[in-house]
Amino acid sequence: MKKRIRSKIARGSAELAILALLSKQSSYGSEISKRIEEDSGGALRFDLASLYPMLYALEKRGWVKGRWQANRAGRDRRYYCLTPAGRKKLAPLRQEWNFFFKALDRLAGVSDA
Amino acid sequence: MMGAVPAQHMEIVAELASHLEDLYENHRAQGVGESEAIELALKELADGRRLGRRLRKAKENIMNERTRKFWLPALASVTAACFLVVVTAQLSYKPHIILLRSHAAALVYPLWLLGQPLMGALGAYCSRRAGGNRLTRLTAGLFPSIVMFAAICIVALAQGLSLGRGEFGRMDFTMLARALMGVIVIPSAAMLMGAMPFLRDPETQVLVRN
Repeated sequence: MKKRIRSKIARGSAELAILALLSKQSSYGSEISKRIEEDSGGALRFDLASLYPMLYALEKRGWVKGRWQANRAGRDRRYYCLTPAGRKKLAPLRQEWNFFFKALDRLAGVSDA
Repeated sequence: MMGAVPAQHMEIVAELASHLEDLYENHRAQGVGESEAIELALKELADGRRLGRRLRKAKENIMNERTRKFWLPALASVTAACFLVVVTAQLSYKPHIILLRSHAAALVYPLWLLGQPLMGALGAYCSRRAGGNRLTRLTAGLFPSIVMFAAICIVALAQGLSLGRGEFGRMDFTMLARALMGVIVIPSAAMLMGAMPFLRDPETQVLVRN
């Protein structure tokens, strides 16, 4: 049974989710949203109001770069790819989350839940 | 409407519209009827105010990253340095005179010198708060010295040019070196002392403590 994570918890993970996804392949907004939902087994889902502000914030920081491209059907889409600065940011971000989960596990025993 | 320039606004609208079209097509591909597919896609825009508010915050053009992380902290540091000079002058603070071996004297303003670490700390702290990297924090903290160095270079160049090409060698380089030492090197060292605690990343400090 798919269980969705509450938005308050999920929101903090958006940055890592998007960067990790774009590290594998550049993608456009709706595709990013779909892949996050699929790859997380339905646990994470970001709607328009969550996804695009995060994408624009990452772009402002210089971690991702958006570029308009015409697809096969002729409709222009804005594709996002990871910049070298974003790629450099990914490993420490993963470590930070790993550290966070271990601390939470020590505190609340989440791995035994 | 969203704090973005018109061209940006149109881009955002086009991107969101493209997303909604993709959602519509996905629903249709799953066998959903046309009107229901439109309704499901438009549900993504249910909270338009929340979307607008978040987009405005993400795209606001008031200040870009470099301004927040470097120029404003650097300006704060320079302004504080100028204020310190004014205060020192207003207090008619007399300098300490140090006699040097070459029969020259150095004038030291202790109050002004003691304030330099605060200038460095201010610039580095403001830059760190804004998310500046180590080099940005360092440069923001030392910015008053950078400005002073640029000013001295311009004056020295102007003097050298006014002396004429053949007379450039007559320029008093010893005096220039002393000026650099007293006005740049020593205050920079003091500023660096003040900036150093803020050159470390806050996350690193948390990890070390744990």
